Amino acid sequence: MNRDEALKILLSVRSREEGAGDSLVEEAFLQMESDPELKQAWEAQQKWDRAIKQSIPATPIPQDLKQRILSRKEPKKSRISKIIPFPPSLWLPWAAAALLVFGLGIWKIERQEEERNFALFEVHAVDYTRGFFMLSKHSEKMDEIRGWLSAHHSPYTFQILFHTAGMEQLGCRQVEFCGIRSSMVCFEIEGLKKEVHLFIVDKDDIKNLPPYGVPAFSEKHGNALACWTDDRHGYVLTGNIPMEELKKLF
Amino acid sequence: MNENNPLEFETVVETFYSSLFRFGISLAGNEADASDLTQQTFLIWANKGEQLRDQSKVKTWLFTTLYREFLRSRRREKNHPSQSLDEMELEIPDGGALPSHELDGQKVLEILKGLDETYREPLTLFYLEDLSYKEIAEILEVPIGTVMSRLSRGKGMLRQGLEAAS
Repeated sequence: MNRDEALKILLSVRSREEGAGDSLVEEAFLQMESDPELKQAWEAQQKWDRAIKQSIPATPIPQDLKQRILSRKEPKKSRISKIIPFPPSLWLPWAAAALLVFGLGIWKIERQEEERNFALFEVHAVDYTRGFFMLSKHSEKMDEIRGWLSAHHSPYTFQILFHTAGMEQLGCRQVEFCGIRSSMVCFEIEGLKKEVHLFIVDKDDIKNLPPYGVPAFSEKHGNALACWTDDRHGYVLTGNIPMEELKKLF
Repeated sequence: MNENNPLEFETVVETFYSSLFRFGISLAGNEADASDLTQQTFLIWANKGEQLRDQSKVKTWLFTTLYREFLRSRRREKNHPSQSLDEMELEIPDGGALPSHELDGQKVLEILKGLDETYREPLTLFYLEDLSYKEIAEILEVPIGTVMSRLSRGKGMLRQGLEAAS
């Protein structure tokens, strides 16, 4: 170990005891014994670390957080409700706006129906896994996952086409796509410590479905995808993993 | 912790919820998501905590779980390749000088927030939670050498940021 390496190790360790049993740390401390400059640098770093720590102000904790935790309920994001003043003098413009919204609603429904094709569902699935989401149900048991999806009117009678040995179910949530409810089940590939996500949509809700019974592989936005169909559902299995790792699952 | 039943839910919550929330803030950057992450972590503890046999691991278990929940919640846009000590640029921070002025804690936090999360995460666990490099490696699920590299480099960045701000 050269001097620079020893210093890098020492800068991340508070005491010799902390590194007990770690041969690299012990070697760095041994080297320090015969190198006064190294010792001086380490002591200065300790002083610096203490100064940094002491300077950091306390973080205010939300008052209701402890109660929320103790309630043992799923976290629910706060929603800010806004009260919009609605004086009679504004009825006419509001009525016009309502008509416009109604028209837009009709247009949106028609557009959603047009967009309910599987190619867009694949893109939606990939984008969804790349964004911020939380699982609604955490469970390693597929029965519990199906139960939750069933209770939330999401597809739950799906068949798993791929091998799940060496994978752990993490949970699920419902994902809306163009006005229809799809299911997302998350798995962790234990060896890779990477997640893959299975999206399931009812066949009747979507057009241009992928091949029946055989996965079609592709890549989108850095994610590997496998898509297929069975008697009742269309599926997307996707993860930020190499394509060969995804193919190994089938 | 309660000596009679150290793993009792309320006791674990009381002991760790504020430090977990702090870590959540450093990851998510806002109070709402940090609260959700903390709440979610304890919900998982309520369901799975009994599987943990080594009581001394409660803290790292909770921090690891919160970190995993965070990763699960937000797909990272960029990869953070592990760096070994050998791969590191040999930039040795000047360990000799302490700032002559009193350190401004808000400034320290501001600079910490501005650091890339590769460095911010281990530094937060080091300074705010007093965790050792081994515990940090366990929580972030990266090799010890990587944690050491990130800590020493992150401290250098923090120092540079403070010097530039003064």
